[in-house]
Amino acid sequence: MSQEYDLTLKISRYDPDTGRSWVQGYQLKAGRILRFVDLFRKINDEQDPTLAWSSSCEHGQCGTCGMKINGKPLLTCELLVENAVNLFKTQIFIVEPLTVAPVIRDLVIDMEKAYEKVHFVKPYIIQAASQPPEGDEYRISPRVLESYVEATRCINCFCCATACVTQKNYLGPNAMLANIVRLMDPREMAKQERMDILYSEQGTPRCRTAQACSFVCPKEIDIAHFIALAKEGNFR
Amino acid sequence: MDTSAQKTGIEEYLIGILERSGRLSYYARSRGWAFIMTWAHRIAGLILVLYMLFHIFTLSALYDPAAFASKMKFVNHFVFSFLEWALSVPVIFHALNGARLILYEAFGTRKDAIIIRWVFMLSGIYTLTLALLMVMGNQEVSAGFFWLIVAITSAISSTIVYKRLWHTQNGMLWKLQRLSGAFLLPLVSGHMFFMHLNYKAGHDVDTILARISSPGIKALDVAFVILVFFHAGFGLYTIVGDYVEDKRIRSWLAVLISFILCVFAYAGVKIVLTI
Repeated sequence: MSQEYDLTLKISRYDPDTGRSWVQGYQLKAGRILRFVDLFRKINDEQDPTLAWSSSCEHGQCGTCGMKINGKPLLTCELLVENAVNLFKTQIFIVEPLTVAPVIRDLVIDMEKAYEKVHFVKPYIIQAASQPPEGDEYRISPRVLESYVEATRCINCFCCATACVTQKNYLGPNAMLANIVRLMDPREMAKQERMDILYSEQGTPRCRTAQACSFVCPKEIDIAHFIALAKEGNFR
Repeated sequence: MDTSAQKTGIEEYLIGILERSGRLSYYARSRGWAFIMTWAHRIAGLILVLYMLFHIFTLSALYDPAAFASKMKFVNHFVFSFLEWALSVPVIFHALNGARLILYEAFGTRKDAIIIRWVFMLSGIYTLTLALLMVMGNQEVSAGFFWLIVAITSAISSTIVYKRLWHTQNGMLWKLQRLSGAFLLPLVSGHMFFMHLNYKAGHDVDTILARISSPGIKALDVAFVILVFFHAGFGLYTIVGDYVEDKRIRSWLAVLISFILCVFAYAGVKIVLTI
């Protein structure tokens, strides 16, 4: 079936040279299985080469193309035109950059700035458990791995942080998750340091259990569940 | 990407209603139901804080029972009766949605779509029951017996939450907020229910004075006032913390909130203990 949609994209623009912000409308025809990144490329090719947007892998693995479409933060490389029309029941789409960091130009945000909170929680093993014997791997039981493997799928696209009720004084759902993953990882020995971050003023007390993080997560991670595990006192 | 909450019957129906509101349907589609519940919880909480301040102000007239009786004449006015009934909507919603949050955060209840459905259903049943009681206006119950049952229920619910949360590393005030919520759930919903059993008698000055002359009810009312204002204060401070980045302004606002609520809490406790 080669159904075409008449789409209107109302895209937030920002020119850092003049400091001017505006919304620009683009009319275009698109097939049902084109993705939103394809639409931006089509605009660049056919209508406006100055529109700036970002993407990298375009396979939902790098988190570079996160944007708000009709208010919903999502990966535009995963959003097909037909799915968008069905989801929002319209052919008019408001396209905005994510709100977690300053806009550099149009739909491109300062990811370095966005990553500051992730870096703050040290998204790596701070103090590793003693090494297994030479040539052997560190073994994690399937039961333990099962309890947190879902959370390891996070790609830091910042859709959850954009959707979150709490926009200030909070680490944000993805940075919280980065900390929780390592708390649940038996290889991590620096548990107390992680607990201090988890229950700090910028940690669990700022989560309102609105579950918007879980609702929008492109990787379908139930982030609210992992934060609630912390509130329940499951990590010691 | 829809949550299960959007796929169940009642939620489908409610989403149909939400579609008529651009703003609400925007958030239902872009953030999910629990997000809307969070905002509704917050707005209901703010309404209740304002009402509590007004309530303490009106109760302060009890120092002069004759003046109170004269002021209470407006209670019989249809508009006031309606507003008092309408207050039960934010009261019961805030109470039941708070219970939903405690179930999620402390008891591992992840079937949130079902709990959201229960919050709506029980809120509807509660508010309609109050309306029915107001229309009937002739129910009788022993105040001592009623409040004993409410006190026991409050003690049980807060003890259960205490056992579940107290050992965790969450902040002390955060835990007290959940504990006070668990204590207040039966108490606040019981209070509104009791006041509507016999609407006219519930607002009669002699009946009120006779009821709070009992030491047991006095003790319960004192606990009620203190916990309500603590719960309100921490709730307000939480909202401030979500929006104000400057630590100094946040601290000043915390002092201001604490001062105002302590004044009203003191006034409320004094009314209960001295009249």
